[in-house]
Amino acid sequence: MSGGLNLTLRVWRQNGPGDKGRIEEYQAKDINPNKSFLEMLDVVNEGLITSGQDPIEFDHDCREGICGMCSLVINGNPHGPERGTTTCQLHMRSFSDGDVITIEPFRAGAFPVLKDLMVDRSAFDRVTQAGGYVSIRTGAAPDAHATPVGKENADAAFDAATCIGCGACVAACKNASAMLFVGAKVTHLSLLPQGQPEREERARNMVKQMDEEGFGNCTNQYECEAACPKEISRNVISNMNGDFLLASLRK
Amino acid sequence: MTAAITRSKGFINSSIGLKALMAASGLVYVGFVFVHMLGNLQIFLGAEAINVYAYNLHHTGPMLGKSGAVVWGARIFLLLCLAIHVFTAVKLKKQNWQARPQKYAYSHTIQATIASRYMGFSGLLILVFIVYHLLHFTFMPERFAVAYAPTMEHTIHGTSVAMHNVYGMVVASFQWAPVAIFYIVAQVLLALHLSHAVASVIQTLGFDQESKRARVQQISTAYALLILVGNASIPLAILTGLLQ
Repeated sequence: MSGGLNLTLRVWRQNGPGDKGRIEEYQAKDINPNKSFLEMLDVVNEGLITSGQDPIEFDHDCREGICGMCSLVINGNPHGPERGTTTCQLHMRSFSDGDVITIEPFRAGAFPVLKDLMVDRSAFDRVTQAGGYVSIRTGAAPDAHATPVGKENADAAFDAATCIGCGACVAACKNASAMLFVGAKVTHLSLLPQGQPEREERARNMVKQMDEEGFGNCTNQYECEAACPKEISRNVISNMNGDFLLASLRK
Repeated sequence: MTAAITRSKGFINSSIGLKALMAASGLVYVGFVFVHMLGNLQIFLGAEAINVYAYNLHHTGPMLGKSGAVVWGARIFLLLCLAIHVFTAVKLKKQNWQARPQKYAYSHTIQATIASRYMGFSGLLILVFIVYHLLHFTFMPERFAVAYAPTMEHTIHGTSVAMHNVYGMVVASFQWAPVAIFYIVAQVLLALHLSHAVASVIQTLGFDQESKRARVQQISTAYALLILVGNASIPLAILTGLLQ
């Protein structure tokens, strides 16, 4: 096949949580530029498996850019060089023949490496469990127009709700801060009428859990916003700060 | 009472609480550097203007030793804000280092500004500058400033008063190039720090609005430049012989 890319991959290999880990080099030969980044890794893994080596472990699920499972830091960029794109939706045409590509896991104390490029992101689940919900009695669904929501608030809440919880914000932040993720969860609910009763408690509890998980602090560089595959605005961090500060003053 | 203490402790130990304290204490200095600059710029009005200004500043309110209560109140308040700013910076920095125990082999930034990437560096050097500046012009001018006539007579409300010769002290000091250049470099670092700081306060305290964000950054940068031009003009004017 003509037009295939020949690439040198520098990949983080780590046998398990306790292993020190190291970068190893692999050649990816004759890669179709229309393959996704994960498909390229599949090809490399095929080669490793047939030659009796351990394949490179990486997380993935839907491969449609919506589940938040894929990760990878590619040449220093979480989810690679394209803006607003997950790794699974990144295509090899974004690279050139002969490129050297460094692939590392999302790095954060709160995201321990399980194996190779796969990290444990359950810290996000615990933060969500601390308040990323509304307590509503079950029963028949209310009429859609029973609770009016302003168009601007509905749009902003929806934008925040597009967060897929992938953790790219943490990976991009020089302090491994989770504020874009937590801000998105807090903002999504605090802009809607259903989120009001638990608004202050939510900000307080989610921030507390975020701190306990060992995520860093925001330095207002906004690398998170730039790396976010869903292009969530830093505005959600400011909203969370406002909610948290008000909650701290009132309680 | 104990509930209030537990609550304050929780706030001080939280990431956003620490950042809010850093923002609030920094905001005090954002205001202070402007007032300080206005006071200093009176040097361009001549020896009498700046000497009398300094004399009045130090003789407002009940007298405590050499200086007035107002100036001491301000000093204690500013020192407290500085302590909070440095304490929160150290604590946040320590947590940030712990949050990323393993660095990237290949690191890259997408949109982080230079000012934002060197906040710790500029802050540390500004702290060194503040210590030197206080020893130089406030607490030990006889040891740190180049020799000058220590007092000068000026007329206040019809009576002649012998007062500290601030004009002579500043001019003599900045005529020595290394000191003048150090002050100018410190002002560049301060401007760098401020250009990120002013916009950050808005974000950190929860007032960010996407429609006003570009304007906020413009104001932040313009303010930093204003302070730089105003403050650096003094050593520059003395070094070039414009003021003598």
